[in-house]
Amino acid sequence: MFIFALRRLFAAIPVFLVATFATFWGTSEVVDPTDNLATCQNCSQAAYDRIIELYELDKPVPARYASWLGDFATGDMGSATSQGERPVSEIFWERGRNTLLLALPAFGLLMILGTATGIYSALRQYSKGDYAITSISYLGLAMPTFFFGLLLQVVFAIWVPKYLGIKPFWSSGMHLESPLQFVRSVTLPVMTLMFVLLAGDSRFIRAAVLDIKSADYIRTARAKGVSERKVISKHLFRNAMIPAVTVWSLNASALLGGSIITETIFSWPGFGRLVIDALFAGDLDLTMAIVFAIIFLVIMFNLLADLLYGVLDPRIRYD
Amino acid sequence: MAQDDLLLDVSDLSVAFKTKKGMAAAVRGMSLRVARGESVAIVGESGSGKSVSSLALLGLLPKSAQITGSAKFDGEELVGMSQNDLRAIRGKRISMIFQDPMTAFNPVFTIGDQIAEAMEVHGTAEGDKALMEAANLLELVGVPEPGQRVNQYPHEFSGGMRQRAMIAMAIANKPDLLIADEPTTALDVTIQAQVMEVLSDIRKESGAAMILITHDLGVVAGSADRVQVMYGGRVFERGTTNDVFYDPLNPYTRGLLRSMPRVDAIGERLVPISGSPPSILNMPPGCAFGPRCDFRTDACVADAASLELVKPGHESRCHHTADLPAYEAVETLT
Repeated sequence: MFIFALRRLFAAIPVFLVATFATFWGTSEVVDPTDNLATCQNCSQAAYDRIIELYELDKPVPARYASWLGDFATGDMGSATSQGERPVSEIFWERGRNTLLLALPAFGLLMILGTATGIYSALRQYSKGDYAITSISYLGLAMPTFFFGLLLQVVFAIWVPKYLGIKPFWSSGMHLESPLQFVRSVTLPVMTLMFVLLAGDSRFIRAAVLDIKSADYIRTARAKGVSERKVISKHLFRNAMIPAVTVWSLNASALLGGSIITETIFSWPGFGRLVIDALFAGDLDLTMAIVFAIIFLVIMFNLLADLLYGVLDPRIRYD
Repeated sequence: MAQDDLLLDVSDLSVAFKTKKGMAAAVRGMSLRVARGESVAIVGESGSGKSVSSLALLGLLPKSAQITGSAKFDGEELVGMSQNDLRAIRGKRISMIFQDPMTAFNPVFTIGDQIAEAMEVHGTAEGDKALMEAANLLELVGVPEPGQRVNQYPHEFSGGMRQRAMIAMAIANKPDLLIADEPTTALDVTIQAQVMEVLSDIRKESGAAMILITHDLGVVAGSADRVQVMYGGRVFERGTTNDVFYDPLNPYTRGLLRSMPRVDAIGERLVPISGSPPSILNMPPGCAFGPRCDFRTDACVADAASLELVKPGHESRCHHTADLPAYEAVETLT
């Protein structure tokens, strides 16, 4: 298993190189750091030359990429020109932590609620509960994130205070003064983040459990005299974990990469907003750092999922 | 058979499923008696109700099934029994061996765990002792190196070995009755014979009775004391294996036997029964076999014959039992 993990990590190196080069190239083609100088009246030729030199604009893209890669490999992520030349690593960790504050609760809730609603729906197929969960899931799949986020804001920041006289949740910004404030400020963005993913997870797990519940081995367990509760909690659940790991790994990389829309709507200073700001400002080093982080997360969670398959499913063994 | 020898007494058992197109009658007034230690084969094509009736006995059918009639197991009524009480009987006093050993084991648990679970559920053995017992059972059914095999997963077993493990699991609690639902259908012919031999050895040793559900008459000939032939959810013929094979009284049974390969007729063509079995949603009026029968008359369409005793211990359901031509007994390939 260790050898397998190592092999997978090595195999990830070309993926990483291709993805970072593509991003570097694309960003370099679109963004011209000298743009700002074109409208600047007081800027001298010296300032212009300084930018050319700083970004090595006199060299071809592959050479610039090689130079970025060299710096990156030695731990130098550069500095963010759009953020007052602050070191990228500093911004990176700060924003990363903020995104984690949203992603972790959302992920935890997703795991619990997605599995619970999926299994419930499948076991009580065509019951009122199943229809309710299915309808809400389709709503979640059909409704754009930005609309759901705005809807929550309208309800909890305008209607509830107006008609009930209380404001239970913050509808904007990050408040970390106390645990209570933290909960009040993450509730709405976490719900927004979760809603779409939860709908997909629930549907996926429902379909998987429908397959499992009519499997021959479930009937065998019943024929042995195993109680209904144990048939579900042992025989069915262990098999349902295998497809669940698939969706969880996809959820994890989606959540940890930051959500552009949710973070923008709720003014949450996380990764998602950072990447948009960096792209609009033509901040190459910052963009590259975030792209690297997203590639890294996707590769790591795929690997983690593959290793978990090996643990959960004896038919998959890595020697 | 003496009354106290009677282990299972099923009478007038009917199973119907609620479907969108109306009620589907899978089993219609079936009866079946099994004495202690006896082996009874239920033979029929797909859709004849043979599997459904046995699943109904153990309450293993989905909730959409409506079960009526009576099934007394050792004096206890199984029809209408609570799931809790049924659970105490399942796997303990009545065990099932399923058709497809490839899918009947849970892929994520070891064979040993799954056999041990059968014992743990009924408190026969616990923990390591149950696992040891599982290894002994595997040895009993002829799985080589049971000490290692017990820790292996289903996918590490071949089809034949898995079916042996299935038998080991079924006999773990020394049941009074084994229900083998097409136990050899999914196996190679050479393996089929081995598995049937294991089953017969096991029964000799434990004295368990068996209901053998199959569509393979070859399997029946070697291993059943009595046979009952089912068609369209009804019993069409019932008698000792010899009687049914050498003196079949029902046109359907004759058709089945004619469609089998024979050792004394090599080079001759097999005679299939024309047509196909009726849909349980749309049973023909009168005799269910009527549309495929060479002897059909208006009486067959008007109403179905009842199951009647023609000779001692030999029953048939046909209006024309008396005027059927004599049957020429044949040797069948077994």
